[in-house]
Amino acid sequence: MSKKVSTVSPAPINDDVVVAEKFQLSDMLHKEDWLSIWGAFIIIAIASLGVISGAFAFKAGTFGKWGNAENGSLLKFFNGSEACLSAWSGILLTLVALIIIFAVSNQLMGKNITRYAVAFLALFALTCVVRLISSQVTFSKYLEYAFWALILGLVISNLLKVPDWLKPAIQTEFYIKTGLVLMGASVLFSNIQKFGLYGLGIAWAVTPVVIIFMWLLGTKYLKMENKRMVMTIAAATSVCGTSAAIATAAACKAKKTDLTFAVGISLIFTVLMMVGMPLFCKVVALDPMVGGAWIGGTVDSTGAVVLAGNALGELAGQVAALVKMIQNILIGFVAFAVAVFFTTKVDKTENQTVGASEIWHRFPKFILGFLGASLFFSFVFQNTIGVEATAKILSDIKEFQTWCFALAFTCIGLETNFKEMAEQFQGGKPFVLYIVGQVFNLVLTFVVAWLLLSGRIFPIPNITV
Amino acid sequence: MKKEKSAKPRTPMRVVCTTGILLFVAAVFVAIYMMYHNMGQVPGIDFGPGQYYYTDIPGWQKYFLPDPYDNPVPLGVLIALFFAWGFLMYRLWIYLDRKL
Repeated sequence: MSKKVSTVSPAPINDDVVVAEKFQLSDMLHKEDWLSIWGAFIIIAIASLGVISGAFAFKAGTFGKWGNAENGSLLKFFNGSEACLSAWSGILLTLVALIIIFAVSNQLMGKNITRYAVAFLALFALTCVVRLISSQVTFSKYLEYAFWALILGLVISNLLKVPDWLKPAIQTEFYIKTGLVLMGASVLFSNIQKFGLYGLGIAWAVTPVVIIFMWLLGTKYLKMENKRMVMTIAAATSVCGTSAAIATAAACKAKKTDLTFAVGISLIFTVLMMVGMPLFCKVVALDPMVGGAWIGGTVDSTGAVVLAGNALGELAGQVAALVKMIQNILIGFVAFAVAVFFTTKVDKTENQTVGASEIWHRFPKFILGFLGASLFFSFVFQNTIGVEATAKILSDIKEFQTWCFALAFTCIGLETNFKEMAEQFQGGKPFVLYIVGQVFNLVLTFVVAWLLLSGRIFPIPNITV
Repeated sequence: MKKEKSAKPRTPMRVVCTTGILLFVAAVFVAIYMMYHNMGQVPGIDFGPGQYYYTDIPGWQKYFLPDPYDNPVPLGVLIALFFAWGFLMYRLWIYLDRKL
């Protein structure tokens, strides 16, 4: 039986109201959250088996870079060359693996498997176009698949019309949840010790403060009605951009347009910060360790952190990577806290108390898969099969995760119209939220990094470069 | 359901919001300029903001597997601090959300 529990926030991903259903054991075989966990676990298990046995490599395919003299042109993927065969054979394996997992899951959810499979083939083809475009040398460095998936989807949905037969495959949340459980494996909690108290202080002391600041700014001062958007933007700003936005949006059941906005603004400002912050550090002759920690704690995308850190020197690059590594751990815990907060505080009606069993009923279960994969890889796999073998498994499953997210972003584009997006701008409040929040993040992270690493108060850590 | 369109900001807020929009538009143009001129690149590093997560970075092991810092604090202490701070902040979040 379903019951209405809230109209406090604007519509979540699927419906106008959040609906909580009583948990039944059979849900574990028929509900999207659980099926996303099992699907991801199957991929992780096969990839792990391949690495541990050494008999095979279960790895998703991708397109190599193209678009300059060194990497060749786009035609190399269509001329029957070795690069062409290698790319397409890997992509075919990916298609087969994903269509089996998602189609069987749809069957278990009571949907028409044939209609789904046909639609998925078309969606996968569109996502191939996205990944091909984003493999262009400049695009792959700066923007990658999320941006192009949204653009392609938006163009199709707004200029043409999404055909009805394609709609069964448009299951954004399912692909996001599966991708997130896969990502959970790479969130290695043991990395918390990589930079000791310094890392914990810079990454973990600042992050929740920024989240709380942005939440209060968005909901109390700017009075944004869409609390889910506030949360998604806050997580993208304070944790680590796109990945955190995806996880948090799924945890608080944000609208697709909320995620689109958070990812878009984060990508834009990441480019600016990646270029501007090392320049600023050089101009003011900032200590490389403080500068690296500042970059690691504030620049959203991990790739940009390593790049910007190294622009300041090897030491700064190393410190930036250490701080970002700890921030990456936070994704799961922030998503968990957000899910509990929205379940118990935002999505409840006035005067309603939410007990433990109700929390369990409403809680997005895929987060358990995310945390389970993270804890298993952190404390079981790393200690039994070793760090190198664990890293190999993570590298193998990584592309499956990217495909899941690329499919999800293509779906978001296909389901979004410009009018709906324009309404989400709320007179420009989300821009103010991001900009003020990011400035606060920059100032606070700088202060904490300086206090911990300048040598004025605490001893300077000895980092081997 | 109430339309979000109705949440149009009042005059002082409108100035703030307009500034926010203008800053964003400027940021878009600057970002395009930076990308067009391939700015921010470091020799020997062939990735950037497009690599959202650490495993997206080609050869991520090189940057993230080594242990360049000899951490003297036991893992248990770090984990305890991690959860203690997280719990404290969560309670603070709930408190401020209710009080303000």
